Amino acid sequence: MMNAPLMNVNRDMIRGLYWKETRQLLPLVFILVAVGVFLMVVWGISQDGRAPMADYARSLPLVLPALFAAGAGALLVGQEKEQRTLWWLISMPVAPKQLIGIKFAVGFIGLAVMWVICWILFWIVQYSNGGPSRSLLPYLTFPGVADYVFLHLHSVFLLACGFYTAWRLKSTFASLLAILPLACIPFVLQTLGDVFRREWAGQRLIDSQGANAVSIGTTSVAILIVTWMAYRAAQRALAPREPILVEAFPKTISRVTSSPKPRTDAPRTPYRFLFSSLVWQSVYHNRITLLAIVLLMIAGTFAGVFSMTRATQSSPDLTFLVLVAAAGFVGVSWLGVFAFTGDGSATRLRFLADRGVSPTVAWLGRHSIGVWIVSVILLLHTALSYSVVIRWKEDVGPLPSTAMVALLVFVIYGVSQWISQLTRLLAVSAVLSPIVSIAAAYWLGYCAVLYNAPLWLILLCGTFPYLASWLQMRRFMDEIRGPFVWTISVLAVVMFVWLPMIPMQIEIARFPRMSQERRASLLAQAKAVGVGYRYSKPIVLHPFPGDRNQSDLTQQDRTPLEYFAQRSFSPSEAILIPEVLPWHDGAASIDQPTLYSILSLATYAKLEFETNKTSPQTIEKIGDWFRVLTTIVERLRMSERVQDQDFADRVEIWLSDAIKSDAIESLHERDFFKDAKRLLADRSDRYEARRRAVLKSWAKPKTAFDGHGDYSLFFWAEGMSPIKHAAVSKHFVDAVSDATLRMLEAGEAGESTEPMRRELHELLSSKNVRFEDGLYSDRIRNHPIDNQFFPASQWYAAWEEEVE
Amino acid sequence: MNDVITANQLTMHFRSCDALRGVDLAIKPGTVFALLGENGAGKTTLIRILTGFQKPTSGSCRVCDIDPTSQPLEVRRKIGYVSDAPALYDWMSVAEIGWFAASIYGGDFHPTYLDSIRRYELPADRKIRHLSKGQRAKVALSLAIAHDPELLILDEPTSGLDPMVRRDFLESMIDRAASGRTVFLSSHQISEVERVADTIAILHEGRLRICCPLSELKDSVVELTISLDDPLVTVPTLPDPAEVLCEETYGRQHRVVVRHYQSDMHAVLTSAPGVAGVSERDLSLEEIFIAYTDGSSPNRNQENPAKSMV
Repeated sequence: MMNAPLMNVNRDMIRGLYWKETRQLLPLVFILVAVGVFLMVVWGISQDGRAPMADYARSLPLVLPALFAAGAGALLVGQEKEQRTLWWLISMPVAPKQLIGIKFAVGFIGLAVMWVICWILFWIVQYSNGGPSRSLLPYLTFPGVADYVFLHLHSVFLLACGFYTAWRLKSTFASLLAILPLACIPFVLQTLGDVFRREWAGQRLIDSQGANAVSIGTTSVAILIVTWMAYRAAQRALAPREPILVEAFPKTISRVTSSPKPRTDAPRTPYRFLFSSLVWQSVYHNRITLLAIVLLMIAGTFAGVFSMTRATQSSPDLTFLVLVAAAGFVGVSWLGVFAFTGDGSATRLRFLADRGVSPTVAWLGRHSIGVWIVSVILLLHTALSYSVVIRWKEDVGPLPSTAMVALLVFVIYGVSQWISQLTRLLAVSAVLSPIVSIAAAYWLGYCAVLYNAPLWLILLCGTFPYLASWLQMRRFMDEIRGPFVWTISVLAVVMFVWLPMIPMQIEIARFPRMSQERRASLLAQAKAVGVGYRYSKPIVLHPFPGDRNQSDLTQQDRTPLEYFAQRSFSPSEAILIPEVLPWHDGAASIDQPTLYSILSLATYAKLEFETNKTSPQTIEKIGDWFRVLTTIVERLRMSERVQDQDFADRVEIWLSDAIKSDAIESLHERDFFKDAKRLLADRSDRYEARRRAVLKSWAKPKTAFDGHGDYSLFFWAEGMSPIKHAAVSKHFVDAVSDATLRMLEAGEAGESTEPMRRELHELLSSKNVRFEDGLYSDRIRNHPIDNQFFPASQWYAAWEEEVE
Repeated sequence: MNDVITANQLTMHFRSCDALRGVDLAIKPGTVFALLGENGAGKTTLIRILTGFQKPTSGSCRVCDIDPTSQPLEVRRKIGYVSDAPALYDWMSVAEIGWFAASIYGGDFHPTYLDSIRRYELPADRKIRHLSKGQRAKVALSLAIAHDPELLILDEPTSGLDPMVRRDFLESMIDRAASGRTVFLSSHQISEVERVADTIAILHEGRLRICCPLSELKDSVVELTISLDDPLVTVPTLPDPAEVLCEETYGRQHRVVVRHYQSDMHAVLTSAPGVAGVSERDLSLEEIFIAYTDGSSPNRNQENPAKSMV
C-alpha cells in the first residue's frame, strides 16, 4: 500500500509531467491555430463568395486537428528522443507507465482542445458568411453527422499512429512519414468492405448508414489496436536495453580482435571537390527517409497523371488517385523540409561551419539532392503524360503541363525548405510545411489569374524563399537567431505576398477617374431630375394551375400538349402589374426570368393569332398582350433603375418586331396597335427615362452588393479580384454612368455612339472578347442575345431607328 | 556494512566489440570511487548497466542492494546521475527545471536545489538554452545532488567547469563521502581524481585492471630504472609477488614499472650480471594509469584482480 508522502510525490510528479508535456505541445497548437487563422483570413479576403472556394475555406479548420494529431507524437516523443531529454527524464525515478500514459493523455487533451478551437473557427466562418442567424447545425448535417464523428475518430487514430511511429522509430522524420500509410488504413478497410459487399455479397447499393457504422467501428477498433501497439513500443523504448545475443555474433571475442567491418558505403578516398562530399552527406544522412519521400513523390506522379484518364468518369478510384497525387505534393514539401532538418537539426551543419565551409556551398550541397530528385520526377511526369496521351487519346482529361508542375514544385519545395530552416522543431516544420507551401502556391496562382501577375513576377516571388534561406544560411549553420534572421523572414513574407499584387495595384491606379468638374455637373443634373431614389414595384407572374405539381400532368388522360392547349395564357391570368397608387407614380420593375416568361407568353399568343388570324379570341388575346406590354414599357420607363430601361428596350424590341410582321400589320387600325406604335415612336420619353435612370442610379449611395441601377457589379466584374473590385467599384460605376450619359447626348445629337460603346465594352466585357464580337458592336446589337444584359447595349441600335 | 555497488562477472557484447569482459566490482559506502579508463574502455557502458539503462549480456550487479536490471526505477530513486553530456530541457528556466525535478523527487529537493543554484550563482530565471556549457553542468550537478542520494554517479562531471568551481565541486564530493554517501566518479581528469578519490579502478579494454585504495595503489607501484653494461644484457625476472606493468628500453637504460616491488628484490637486481645499477622512483596516478593502459604491458590479459583488493 502506498504511504502518504509517496502519494504526494506521485501526485506532484503527475502534475509536473502534465505541465512539461503541455508546455512542449503548446508551440504546435499556437502555430497551427495562427497559421490556420492567417490562411482563413487571406482566403476570406481573396474570395468573393464563390461556392467552391468558400467551401475550401469552410473546411480549412477541419484540417487543423488532423495536423495536430499527426505532429503531437513527433513533438512529445520523437523530439525528446532526438534531443536526448527523454533519457535525462528517465534517469530520474519516473515510472515508464506513467510517462507513456501522461504523454498520450496530454496529446489527447490537446486534440480535444484543437477540435474545440476548430469548431469555434468553423462557427466564425459560418457567422461571417451568413450573419448571426446562421447556426452551426445545418453544416453538421452536411455531409452528414456520421462523417463528422468519423473525422473526430480518425484524428484520434492519427494521434495513436503518431505515438506508435514516434516510439517505434529512431528518426522523427521517418516516424512522421510512416503515419501517412497508417492513416489510410481505415479508408482502405472501408473500401475493401464496399468491394466485398458489391462483389461477393452481391449488394448493388451500399447502405450509407451501414457503411458509416462499419467505418466508425473499424476505426474505433483500429484506435485500440494502434494504441496498444504504441504502448508496447514505448515500453520497449523505455525499458533497459536488451543485450544482443552472443550466438548471433560468435566471432566477436574482443574489441581488439574483432574490429568493426568497414562500411562499404563510405568512400575509400576523399572526394576531390567539397561539393561532392556535401552531396554524399545529403544522400547518406537519412537514406530510409529520403527513399520514402522519393517513393511518395513517384506514387503521386503516377496517380496525378493516371487520374486524368478517368477525369470524365465518376469513379471511386478517382478520389483515391487524387489523394495520392496530393500526397505526392506533400512528398515534395517534405523533400524541402529534409534539406535542412532531415538529419535532426542544424547542429549537424555546425560541423561544416566549424570547418570553414562556405554557407553558399553548404546551401547548394543541401539542395543538390532535392534538385536532382525533382528533376527526375519531372522527367517521369513528362514521360507518363506522353504515354497516357498516346494510350488513351480522347479519354484523357486536362493534363497539367510539366512546366506547370515544375512551377508548383518550385514554390512548394522552396517554401518548405525555408520553413524547415526557420522552425527549430522538426515536428512543427514537417506538419506546417505542406499546408503553408501549398497555400503559397495557391496564392501565386491566384495572383497570376486574378491580379494578372506575369510569369516572370511569379517566378521572382518563388525565388524569395530560396533567397531568404540562402541569406540566413550562415546564421543557421552557426545556430544564431537574431534580428537579422527575423528581418529577412518578415521581408521575404511581405515581398512574397505583396509583389504579385503590384500588377493589380497598377491597374487600380490607372483606372479612369471622373473629374471633379464632371462629377459636380452630374450631381447637379441628378438633383435636377429629383432628389432621392425610389424603389419600383415589381411586376410578377401568377402561378399557373397545375405547375406546382407536375404529377397532375401524368394523372390526366391528356397529353401535356393537350393540357397546355386548355390554358388561356392570357395576360390577366399570367401577370400581376402593380396598381398605381396615390402615393406612388406607378414605376414598376421586373426581373429577367419574369421578363422572358412574359415575352414567351406574348410570342405564344402571337403564334396563335398567326395561326388563326380571323378568330375573335386570338385577336382579343394578342390585343390584350399588346396593351399589357405597352403598359409594362410605360411603367418600366418610370423606373429609376438602369436595368429596367434595358428591360423596357427588350419589350419595345418585341413590339417593334411584332408590328413589322405581316399578320399583325392587318390590325393596324386597332387601338392597341396604335398605342404601341405611338409608344415606340416617342423618342423623347425614352431619352428622358434613360437619362433619369442613369443619373439616379449613379447618385444613389452604393452598397457592397449593389451595382449600378441594380446591375450586379459582381456579374460585371467576374474574374476581377475582390481587392480590385473594392478599390475600383466606385470609379467603375462612375465610368459606366459617364459613358452611358455621353452616349445619350451623342445619340440625341445624332452623332455616332460607337466611341462610348467601345468604352463600355472595355469596362464590362471580358478582356479576351474583341469589340466586334462583343454586345456593344452593331453586328451583335442587331441580333440581341436573350440572356445577355449589359447597360445601354441596345441604345440607339437599329430597332430604334426603324420604329422612329 | 553492505557494499553500495557490487558487480559480478559483468560482460557486455555489442555488435562489433566486447565492451565489458567479466568485470567484478565492490564499492564500500562512504567512498569516493574513481573509475579511470581511456576512451572506449567501457566506463559509460558500466555506468549504463549500473543505472538500469542497459541489461548486461551476462553477469549480475546490485546498486544500493537493488538489481538495476529488474528494478531500475528503485535504483534511480536512490542515486543521482549526471551523464557526460546531460540533455536538459532547454526551453525551461533554471528555476523551472528545479521545480519540475522536485515534483518527481519530492521531499527537500526544491529548497536544496535553490540553495545549490544560489551557491553556483546561476540566474534562476534564465532559460537553459541561454546558459553557457559550464552553467549547464552546474545545473545538472545541482539536479543530481538535490535529493541527497545515497550514491552519486558522475560521468565526466567537471568538464566545462571553471577551475574555481571545479575545486569547490571536488571538495564537496569529499564532504559527501565524509557524511556516508558514496560518489562514483568517471573521469579523465586524473590529477583531480587523485585529489579526491579514496578508491581507484582502472578499466582497460573491457577488463578491470586494478581496483584498490588510492594510497595502496600509489604505494605499491614504483618505477625502476635499471642501468645495464650492455643493451643486449637480459634483465633478470623479478620474483613473486612483483608484477611488471610495463617496460621500455632506451639504450643501456631499462625502465620498468612494477607493482608489489619489495626492498629485498633490489639486491636480486643489483646482483645480476650486467646490471650496473638500479634506481627507484614513486609514480603519480597519471603515470600509473599510463603504465596500466599503454600497449607495452607484458601481462595485459591477466585476470581481473579487483574484488580481493578493495
